[in-house]
Amino acid sequence: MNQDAINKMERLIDLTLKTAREQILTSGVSSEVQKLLLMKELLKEQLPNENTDSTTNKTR
Amino acid sequence: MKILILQLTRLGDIFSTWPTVRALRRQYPSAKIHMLVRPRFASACEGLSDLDQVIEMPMMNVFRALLKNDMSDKDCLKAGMEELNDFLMDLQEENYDEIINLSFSPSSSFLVKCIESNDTKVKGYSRHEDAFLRIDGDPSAYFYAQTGVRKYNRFHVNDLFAEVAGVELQQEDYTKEVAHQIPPLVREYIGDEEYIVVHLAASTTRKSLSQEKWMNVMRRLSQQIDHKIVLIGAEIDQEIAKNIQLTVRGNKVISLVGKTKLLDLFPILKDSSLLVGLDSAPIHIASLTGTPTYNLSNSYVRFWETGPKATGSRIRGIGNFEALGSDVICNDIQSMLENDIPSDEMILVKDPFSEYEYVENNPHQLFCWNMIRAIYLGEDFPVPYRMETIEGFKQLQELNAISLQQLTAILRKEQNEENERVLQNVDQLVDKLLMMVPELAPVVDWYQTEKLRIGPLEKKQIVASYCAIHETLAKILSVYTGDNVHIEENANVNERTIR
Repeated sequence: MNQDAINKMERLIDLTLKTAREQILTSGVSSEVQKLLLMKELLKEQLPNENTDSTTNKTR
Repeated sequence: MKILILQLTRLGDIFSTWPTVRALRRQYPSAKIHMLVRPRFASACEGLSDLDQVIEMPMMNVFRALLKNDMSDKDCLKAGMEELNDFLMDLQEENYDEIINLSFSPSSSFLVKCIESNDTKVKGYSRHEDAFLRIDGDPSAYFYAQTGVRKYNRFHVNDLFAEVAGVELQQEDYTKEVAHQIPPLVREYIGDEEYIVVHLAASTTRKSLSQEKWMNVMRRLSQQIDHKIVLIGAEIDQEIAKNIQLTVRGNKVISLVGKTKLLDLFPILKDSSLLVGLDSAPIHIASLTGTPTYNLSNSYVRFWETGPKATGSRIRGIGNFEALGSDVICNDIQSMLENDIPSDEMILVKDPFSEYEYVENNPHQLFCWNMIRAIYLGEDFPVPYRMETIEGFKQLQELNAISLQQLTAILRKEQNEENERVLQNVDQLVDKLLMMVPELAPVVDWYQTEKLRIGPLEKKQIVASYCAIHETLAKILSVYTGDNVHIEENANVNERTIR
């Protein structure tokens, strides 16, 4: 996946999360939101500067 | 019982998980044990007979859906989420009794949250209901606080994984036979003579020797030892292997580069006298075959965490490989083969369960490691190696006292906003203090992680929990802020402790 596509998808996820902000504040974090956050992290791992070299070199 | 292990990192980490999987099997002989891995590294599970199922993350399907050209971005995201959701539901339906997350990444923590049920026991990272990081268990908290870039941990990942999983490793977890023979074609290449194995490449080029260095080493080594030299590596290493063979006379060097699967390396390494390697998968396989390993380790590698475990292994640690002479490398290898006494610079592996034997000359590193041992293992606190350390502890104690004061005031409901502003300022001051006195890091990382472990509770409960942590911190710091502490100027750096 190229960096542009990743960034685009991340922005879209952020927008979706922003839209869900009100609901999050009133009802808490739903499982759908947790899945969106999972997707966002999976996308970030595809970025070239993300170090997935080894468990102990993990960025947080 | 059904157990899922998440190991979503690379080849080396998967092999480092093998002893833990075997120990789990010993502990739960009739359990179903599954492991979730990335498809690219799934081959590292071949031969691990104690696993019932290897599950591969279907990321290609998810990303393919995200990138469809004929759909809007919003529809692409929806399609990708549906693919992800299908996968998550499959895992949810397994109803795992236990999920052991040995990946320690943000994504794996969300993954655990998405698949766990109310009855699932989780070990490792997950997420709270409010999506904040949830750190389950003391070993995971240790991992969070003390491992990673610029940290001071020296426990090996094999042992850390076992701690997180809640198992105790035994010899058989390392030495269990892998049912696989050397393929006949490979056996033809190797023949019946004694041989050593040399792995040419590391997972990243910065951890490897240059081609020129390898050629110099192989040329010299072929004249210095009687053993045949068997080269292993991926297809990408074939050119360097060819150049090495051209540079060495006769048929001393055999290249299996690009000709073996990972599973083939088990019997190949088992029959070899020695492995020469850098920070990469064969080192970890050699730990499982009991093959003594000569491990070259530079400043990019934390050998304490990922070094060899096979008895008789030796590690040559050096900041920059180019500064290491080919003659030194060859002499080290010859010395190992002849069972000679190693030089003082070498780090020795007595057995898979003992700590590496070496002489530590860096007082800062030693102090921080001993600090970790004092906090987590209850050992003696180390004596500081410079006055600034004591001053640093005193300042940290003052900041801690301010934090405690503010938290107590919050509990009494006195001016919350002002108190919280002061607490934020204290956090910033601690960060600045760490830059000047980095040896405070182990204790700062400890207490910050303990605070992070507190889940979503009522504000009063959170604040009360924070107070308890700061009170414990005060006790730790009092070891260094009392009147009896002084630096012994000429004492052996390895022997200074505070009781």
